[in-house]
Amino acid sequence: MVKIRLKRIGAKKAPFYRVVVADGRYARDGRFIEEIGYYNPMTNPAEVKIDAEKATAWIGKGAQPTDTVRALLKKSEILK
Amino acid sequence: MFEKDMTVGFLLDFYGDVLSEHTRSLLSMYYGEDLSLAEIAESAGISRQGVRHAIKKGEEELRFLEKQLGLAAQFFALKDTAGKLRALAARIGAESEPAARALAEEARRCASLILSETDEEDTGIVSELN
Repeated sequence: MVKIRLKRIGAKKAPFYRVVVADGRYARDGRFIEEIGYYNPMTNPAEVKIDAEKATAWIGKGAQPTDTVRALLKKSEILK
Repeated sequence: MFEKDMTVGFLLDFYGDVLSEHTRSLLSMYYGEDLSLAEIAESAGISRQGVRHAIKKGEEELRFLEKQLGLAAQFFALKDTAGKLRALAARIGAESEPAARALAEEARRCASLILSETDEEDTGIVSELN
């Protein structure tokens, strides 16, 4: 199953996340198909930037966002 | 299913080394790579229940450590104060005599040093995630 999930990058004590589309079968090895945005929890308020077109296209093709990503999609009003 | 609280990811940066290797790796899969309990269970070769239990226990441990030691709170307070100090030094530098300007520049540099030290801690846990 194709998933949309967060992937942490950024230094220790300075988390920064990419929003990536990844094949659920290769969950552990970290490879992903496409990066569609990012989430920076260090700014106040947290900064979320997700490519709405790509996100909806992937969801249309059956990609499953994780609960965390779903929450971010709602926050950036891509999902209702 | 309990909701993921991303602040646990911060706490893992501070206290991860105190946890067992096993717990730390489960937490980093859960928070760092946003894997589901089922995915983690599969990759770790334990039950979903087991993963859930270990993550809950690990989270409790992290929160307990933060409550007792407060390193994360202290870190953010320091970062915030150093940021303010740097901004103040820049303002003083812009308005004053050359001699005072040099001192303001020195103060600004000190504040930047604190900020860069807090920014560039070693990346032990994170490098595992990349």
